[in-house]
Amino acid sequence: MIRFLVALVLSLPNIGAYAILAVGIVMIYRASKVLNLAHGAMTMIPPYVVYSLSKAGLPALPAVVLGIVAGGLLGWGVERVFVRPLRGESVTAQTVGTVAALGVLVALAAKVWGTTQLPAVRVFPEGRIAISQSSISYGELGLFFVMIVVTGALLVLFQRTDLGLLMRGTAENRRAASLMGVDPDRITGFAWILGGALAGLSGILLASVTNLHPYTLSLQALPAFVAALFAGLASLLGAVAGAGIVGAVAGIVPILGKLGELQGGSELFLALTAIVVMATKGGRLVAGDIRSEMSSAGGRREREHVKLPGGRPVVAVAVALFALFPFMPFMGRGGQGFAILGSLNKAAIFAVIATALVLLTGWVGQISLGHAALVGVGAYTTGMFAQALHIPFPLNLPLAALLAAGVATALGVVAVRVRGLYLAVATLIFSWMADAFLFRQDWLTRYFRIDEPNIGKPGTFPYFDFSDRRIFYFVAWAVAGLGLYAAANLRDSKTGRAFFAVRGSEVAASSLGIDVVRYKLLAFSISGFLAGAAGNLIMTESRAIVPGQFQFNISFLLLSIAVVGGTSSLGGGVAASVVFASLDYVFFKVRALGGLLDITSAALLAVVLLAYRGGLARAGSSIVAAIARQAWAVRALEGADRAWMQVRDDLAWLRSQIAARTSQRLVLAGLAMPAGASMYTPAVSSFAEDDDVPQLLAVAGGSVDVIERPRPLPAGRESRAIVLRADEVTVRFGGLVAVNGVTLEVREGEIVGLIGPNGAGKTVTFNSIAGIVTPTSGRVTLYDKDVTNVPVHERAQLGVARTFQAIQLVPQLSVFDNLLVATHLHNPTGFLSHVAVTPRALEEEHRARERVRGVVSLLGLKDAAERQVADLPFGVLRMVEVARAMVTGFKFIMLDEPASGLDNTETEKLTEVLLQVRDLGVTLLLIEHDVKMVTSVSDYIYVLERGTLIAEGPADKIKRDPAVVAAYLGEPVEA
Amino acid sequence: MSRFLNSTKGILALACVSVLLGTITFQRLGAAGGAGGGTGPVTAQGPGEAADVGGPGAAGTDAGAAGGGAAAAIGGAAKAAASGLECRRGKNGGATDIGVTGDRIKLAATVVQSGIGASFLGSSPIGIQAVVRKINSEGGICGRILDIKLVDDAWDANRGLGFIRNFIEEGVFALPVTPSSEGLTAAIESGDISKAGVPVVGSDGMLIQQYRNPWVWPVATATVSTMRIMAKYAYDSGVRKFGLVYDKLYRFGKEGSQAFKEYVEKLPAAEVKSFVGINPGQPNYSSDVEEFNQRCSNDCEFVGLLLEPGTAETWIAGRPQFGTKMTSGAQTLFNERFAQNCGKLCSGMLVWTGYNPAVGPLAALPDIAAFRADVQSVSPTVDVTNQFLQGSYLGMTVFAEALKRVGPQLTRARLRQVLDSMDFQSSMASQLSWRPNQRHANATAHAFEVVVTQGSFNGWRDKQTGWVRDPTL
Repeated sequence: MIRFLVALVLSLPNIGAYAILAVGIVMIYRASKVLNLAHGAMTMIPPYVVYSLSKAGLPALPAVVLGIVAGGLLGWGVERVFVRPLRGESVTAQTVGTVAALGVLVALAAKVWGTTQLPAVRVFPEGRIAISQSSISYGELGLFFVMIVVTGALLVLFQRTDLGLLMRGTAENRRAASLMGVDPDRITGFAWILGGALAGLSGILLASVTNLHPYTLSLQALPAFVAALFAGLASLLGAVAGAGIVGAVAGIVPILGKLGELQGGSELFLALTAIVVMATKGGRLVAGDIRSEMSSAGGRREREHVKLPGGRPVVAVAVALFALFPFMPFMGRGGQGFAILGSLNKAAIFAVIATALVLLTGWVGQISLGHAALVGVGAYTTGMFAQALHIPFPLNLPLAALLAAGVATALGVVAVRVRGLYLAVATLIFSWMADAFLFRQDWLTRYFRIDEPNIGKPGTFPYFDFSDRRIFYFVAWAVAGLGLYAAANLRDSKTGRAFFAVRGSEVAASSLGIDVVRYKLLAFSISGFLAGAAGNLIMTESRAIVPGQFQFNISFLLLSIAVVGGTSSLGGGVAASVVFASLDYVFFKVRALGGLLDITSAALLAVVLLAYRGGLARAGSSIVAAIARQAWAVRALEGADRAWMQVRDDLAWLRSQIAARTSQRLVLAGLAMPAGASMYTPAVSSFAEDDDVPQLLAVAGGSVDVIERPRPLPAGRESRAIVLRADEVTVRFGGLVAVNGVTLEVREGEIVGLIGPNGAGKTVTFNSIAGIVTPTSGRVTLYDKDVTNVPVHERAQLGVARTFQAIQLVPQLSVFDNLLVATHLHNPTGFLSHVAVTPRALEEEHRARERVRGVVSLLGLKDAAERQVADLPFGVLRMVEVARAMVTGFKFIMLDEPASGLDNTETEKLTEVLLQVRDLGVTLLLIEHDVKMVTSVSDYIYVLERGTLIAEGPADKIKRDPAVVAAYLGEPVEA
Repeated sequence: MSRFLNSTKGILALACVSVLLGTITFQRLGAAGGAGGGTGPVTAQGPGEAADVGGPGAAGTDAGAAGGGAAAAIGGAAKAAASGLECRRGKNGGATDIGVTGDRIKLAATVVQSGIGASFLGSSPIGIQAVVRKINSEGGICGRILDIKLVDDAWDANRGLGFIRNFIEEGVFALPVTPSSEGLTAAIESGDISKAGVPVVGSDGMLIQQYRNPWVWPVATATVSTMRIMAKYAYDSGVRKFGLVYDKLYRFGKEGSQAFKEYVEKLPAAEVKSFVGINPGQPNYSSDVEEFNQRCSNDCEFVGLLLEPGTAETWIAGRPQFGTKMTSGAQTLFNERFAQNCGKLCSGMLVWTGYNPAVGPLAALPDIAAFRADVQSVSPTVDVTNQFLQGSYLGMTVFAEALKRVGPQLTRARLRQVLDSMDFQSSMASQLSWRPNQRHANATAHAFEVVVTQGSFNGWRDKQTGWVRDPTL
């Protein structure tokens, strides 16, 4: 016990160091929502400044002060140069911006001050205090106490001052801060200055108890990221507590016998602790907000499908590149060609990894800083399969990839409870642990090489002679091509749409029946599979790997490739892979770059990132479009186009023949419905297929063509079946009772309104019915099934759709694709059939599109169908949400304040649409602030006040109810 | 649009499968036709060289064929003598092997000038360039100048391996020194070096696998040897209770610590009391120091440090127990900056090296003086006490000497034959001797004491241990 206590006391310096760093990371994150991976560099440079000033003759104290100032300026500079220009892009792009800053700053420091250890300026007097068999220096103790003082001061700043309030407010909502007259850029800039100064202070104190080394010092931030993770990137005190855990683990593990002797024991222990911490997180679904995405994008957004005029120039360029493909290995002569091939081969491997990251990060929004570890798993297990089991390439490729997929899925199981940058840090910990622990274990690393016979035996099938780089070129690009093919198929399928939906809004995705957790895990698995395949290619090509080849910082490079490509673009990822891989050729040929490799790589990342903010995908499409406008290009394109059309038509005919025959076989086998039979609910399929249904609204045109009054609802409410029943539902948040014993019913074919003043508990009631909030007590039944504790996506599967007060569409998709997401539950095909584009998958896709076309036509959304939702006005977006609910074909739709944000005309249009929908046999439940709208549209109304039901009945009755008038309406409504 | 995309992707998929099947078919057809699949190393040109170059492992067979290569070389030497070749331009036989012409020998090496490895390997190219400059100023070797290409790989294993493969494909004759150990390690382990039969002469990586490859001739004392030497010297000095702190992240630490422990445990009455591995790069090691000291209990007569300089500084700052009789550092700590930064804490510590460093009276030894002059002619400010600089200079010197001994009929096989029986005497190190199954040419080390006066480092003092030989070799 005493030994533990001693170890704990001896850990205080580490705790102090990590705490100051973690507090800086959290502070910058809180103020700007950016994960500052350059924090290590910002920590490292100020002590060098102090060193230089001291060498120039400046006394220690002013040198330290100026060093801290330099840290602040560095923070300001990083924000201005590497982060602010990317604010319109994704958080991933901003994170990679800080990676570029990290690379540039470390490389610059190495150039300016060299990479030899230098003695740092000592801030505290020399001397030590003996503790047991060891001791602590005054400097180390000073570091700990400075941490306490600094944290205290920052807490006061954040909690007690106007500036702190402004910083917190700006971080929460930049737009709101802006509307209140606050300059959010200035506040964010100040936070970065403060964060930089703090990093500088910690660096100066750290260096004073160790020494100066650009790489070692900048790596000290890594444990601090772990501490910040424990704090949820949110709490300063939490960061200190997290640093306490990290520092204590580092201090105690060495005395734990076998675990202490284990290589990477501390990292393993911390990773396990992180798992426990993450397991205690809520795993709550997160709603997206298209308005905030639109505003933060500042008019620039990532676009998944870069659409060019007619799409044909892209095809032409792709065909041209494809035609060049077989000749590339023969470009250049002798050694030069060989070196080019080396880079192209590396590009193929990068392309596989980029595809993995585009899928996971770009499409599903799961930021990964751990892919280097997955690639490493693929590489080492390839060695294992080849050496131990004598399974040659390519048979070992799927096996290694599957193992990596398994590891990725396990990572996903843990990480699926967290998201965004919090997830990024979690994956970073995984990568760190893999580097420090997993890839240092003899049972795995003994397979660090493959003897040539184990790659494959000549004369056997399949055998590839990789001593010829050209062979590897074709094989690697074939693997990359298959990966791209599979990913592209997924993107355009039900699975891909589910991915995008999860990224756009987990709540909305879930409400459409998409199992968010399952799809996240699926994305992790597929991404891990691809990363493992890349690892297999690395091992197969190099036949030997060395420890440290899959260090955590390699993950930064890999994510950078995906981001430079455009984050969500497969083609962009390939282009970025070629760009980064070609650096090796440049370095090999241009000897003048010797000594400048780091800075060149970092500068390239920075330049490409900042010059092409939408990634190479957008830049490439602009270039191609510009070329396509040239006369010669137009002529060439027309010729190519004619030829292409012919090929396309032939292929389409071939596919249709195959599909028809397969379908016929399925019908004969009783596995599919005959052509013409609809699997959709009659209500929706009838209007979807009925040409006589009037155009309700020409929304895009803004005019109402025909409005027919709906038929009145038959009398005798009690005779109609109950669709939904909430029975004595109570919801408590701590001591606050938000909903108190509410009972309500929604019956078939009616519109039920739920109203109440602000704070009445409408939204909580609505969410408890929808499954987002679990009632503290009471019961919710849907179609007579108890769904009180049923997850959102399973409720959806029972047949309930919903809309959202804050629009929950996927901004990166077109209106049509957004609506396609709603066909999810009607499409029984699995992701493997999407990968392979089976005839059945094609058939289901065709049906889904037909269905969407019907709804688009019905709601007059034709003109908007191909436009991205982020480009559309708010009123149209509301209509798209309603359309999406209708596409589900469910008979029960819940509408969450559908008139919110609409003007009178738009509200009137919406009212008519809702009545028409009800007239089609769909049951509706809506909560709404607009009393006039609710009373005009609802067949039955419930009124809440302070969480309690105060009235219910038809609209006429509610309008006259004195309690309602008094408590909610304030004055009688005109009859 | 969907059908259109699907059609595009269909073509892509078809193409990928076709490429895979086509590649296999192409190879099989190639094999059936006797064309072979690989581009393989380029064969030498010029008349009369087929017996020397076409037959040996140099053309792409594995190490097992190297014996044949050596035999062929003997025949080649006889033929050269018979044909009256002379050691001067125009008479040297011209293109006798890959990368050799009548007036130059094409060489290459990967070096480290960027990244973390540059701190200790950064000056190695200067040692190589110094020797090359000197040789070329004398007209080269047998009329052939040394044409060496040094390329920075930033100590990146994958990149380094790729560059070495490029060199082999470009047709370099040999890879002298090749200071960037990560890429070289990968190239050795992957079998590229053996398969191409490209000589790697004078390497300085100190990791054990460099001493096991028939195509690699290291000049440095292996880390495992240094550790056993440290233990032997201590034991011979009466030490029985040992302690060792080592770097448990990098391979040199793992290999060296294991060799140390295994050796000490075999010594009569000796025990390893404290054996602690630490992770480099930590801000402090108080807990590890506590653990180490607990295990030592003030009773470790010998304490060894197998750490990088920065890690060692931080470790020592935590006040670990030193040996009551002796404290020794491995050759990684023969570093002036480390000694300066450590100051009085390291006073009296012994640091071992496999070379004669350019310090004290040793600096006046003829080869050391030449080394200093040569490297300073390339870079006047270079730190001449840097062990890797000295190693690269010595390695390149050994390589040049071997080339001279081969003579005009220069082939890889003959170079291998010469190196496999080479004894090299120089005042830079003890006598270096390579044999076909003995790559530990440098199996000795000697110790220097850190001298501190008035709290500051004041140079290295030769402890006069003499060259202590690895007791297991």
